[in-house]
Amino acid sequence: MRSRSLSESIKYIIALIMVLWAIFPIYWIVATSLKATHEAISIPPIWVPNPPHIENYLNPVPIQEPYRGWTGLIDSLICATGAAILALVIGLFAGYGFSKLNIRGTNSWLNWILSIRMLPLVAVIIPIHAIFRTIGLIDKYPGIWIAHLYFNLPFCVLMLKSFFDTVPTDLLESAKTEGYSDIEVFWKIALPLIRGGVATTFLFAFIFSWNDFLFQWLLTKHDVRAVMIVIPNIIKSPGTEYWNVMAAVGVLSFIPTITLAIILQRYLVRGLTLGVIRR
Amino acid sequence: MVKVYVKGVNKSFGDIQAVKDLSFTVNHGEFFCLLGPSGCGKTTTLRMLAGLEKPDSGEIYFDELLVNDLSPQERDVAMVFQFYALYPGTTVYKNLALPLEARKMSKSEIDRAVRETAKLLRISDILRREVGALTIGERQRVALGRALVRKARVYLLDEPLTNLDAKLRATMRVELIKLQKELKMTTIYVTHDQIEAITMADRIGVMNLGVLQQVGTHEELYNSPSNKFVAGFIGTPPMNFIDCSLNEAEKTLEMGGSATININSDAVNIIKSKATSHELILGVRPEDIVIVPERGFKAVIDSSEFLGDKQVLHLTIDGSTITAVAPGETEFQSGREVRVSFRKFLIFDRKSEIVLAKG
Repeated sequence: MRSRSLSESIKYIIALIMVLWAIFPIYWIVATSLKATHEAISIPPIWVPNPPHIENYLNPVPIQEPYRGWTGLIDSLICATGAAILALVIGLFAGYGFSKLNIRGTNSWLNWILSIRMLPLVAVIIPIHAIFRTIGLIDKYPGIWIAHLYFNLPFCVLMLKSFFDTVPTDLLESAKTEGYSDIEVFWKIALPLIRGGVATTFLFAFIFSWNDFLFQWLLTKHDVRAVMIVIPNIIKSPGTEYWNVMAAVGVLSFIPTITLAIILQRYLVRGLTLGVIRR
Repeated sequence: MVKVYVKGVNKSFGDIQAVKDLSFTVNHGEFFCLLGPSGCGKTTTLRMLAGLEKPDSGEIYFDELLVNDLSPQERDVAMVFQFYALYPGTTVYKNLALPLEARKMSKSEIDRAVRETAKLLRISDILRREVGALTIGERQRVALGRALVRKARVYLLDEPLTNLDAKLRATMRVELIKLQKELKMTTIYVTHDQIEAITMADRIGVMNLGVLQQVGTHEELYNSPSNKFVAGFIGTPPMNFIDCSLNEAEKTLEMGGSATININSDAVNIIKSKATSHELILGVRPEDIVIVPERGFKAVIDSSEFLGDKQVLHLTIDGSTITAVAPGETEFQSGREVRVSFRKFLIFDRKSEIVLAKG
């Protein structure tokens, strides 16, 4: 009995260390975002800022260019949501096709799609920049949406294909014989069964887009400025390090992704319940 | 209800020819069974009838209507799948209603049809239950209900009883026949289980390796099989096959060793005219082997399986092992020597495996 409780406590201690390890950076950035500029770099560190400097979030005086923390947040939301939806829509059709429609050479197609994902972004950023400049997509939301397909689309296609794979083909064929057209089978039968998978895929695509720096940095100038680009711009010249303001924008930048993860959590955890078909 | 004509249908998947030159007819309201081992092309045939696969060549008609190029939606068939294919996470009611919703029927019509079908299949009390919570037998009924809930031209059933336990299967067989006769449904039923085929079907088509071997009632298939495959597939325990050769002068079949069977001169003439050589196969059903007090072939009993009213004996005659069915009351000890005679037998060509003569 005693040895069991001992091993239990060791488990809890290890779990506690892991949780602290994961939570500490978040705590630190939140704490820093509420400090005064000199407090942010003081040694010994200040653990709990008192009083909290909420103004870091609102209108920090010392920043020269107009403060773009909040507009950056909105730009990021538009970029990431649009990019994720675009990739999701195309990915749904492609994934369904590869999974259920016996497309000739499906495996070669999938390998090819996967290999795109392996290519480093820097390898393609210059041609993409050149193309976008020619067709006028620089500094535009659709430009970012299309550019992000580069990493989001392979991911969405492969994820959604594997979710569609879990839908029994019998179910779809049975719907066909019952009088549903191909589009209705996709829309009314297959899609509702992978709701959870769609939510998960959307979340990941959203996070990938949100976290992208390279594309958003090189393909935008003034009109579109994602929060990821705003953060490094806060430090303009040596000696004027507003770590506190940077931390504040940093906090803004992770609030949407965390919120979304909490909303979609039940889908992430629940997964698919397809226990009806016995195999 | 329609009459179904299948004319010279072929279907290949890559290099594998799943169905070869298939032709048969299913009459109005007939219960037609496609019987064969797995991989014989019976499910492919059913899927072509449903419109889920397209034949490479050949024609399929529902009455006068050529359906080759019609989608499943346009063909108006109802199909029951082996794994039931119920929509997960929905109620029994919803499952029964879906095929009608697909046809854009009104709510009240749907409700009436669902309740009627539920009553017919005795699932009225579980209409509100979720399909995940059903027993396998209930799921099977719901799957059947989904096919029956609307009036289709043809009902296609793909091994619907395979997943049930033996007792439930027997009950469902009886209920299925009753329903089919009551509703006069043109039914095509696919199975690998000869008992299902024999007990339910008006006519049976036996398939092997993509080729339809023979079509007939179960009596026809049992009494006059056209080849060795059908003879061996229909009947339990299966027919015994013993290699033999024709001795024209003596008018006998020699089974190796000392055992010979006399045949009449008509049979000799038929064999001579139809056989590819003197190499033949003798086919005897276990139930046609009788233990006799004298004469007959010497046989040694290897073992016996007691089945109540009868028993299955495993015998050795001249080195070949055969099975026989004997009444249950007599006790046979292993190792005992008995004499057996064949009440009836069939003679096959060893190369073509076609039935040449009966004896």
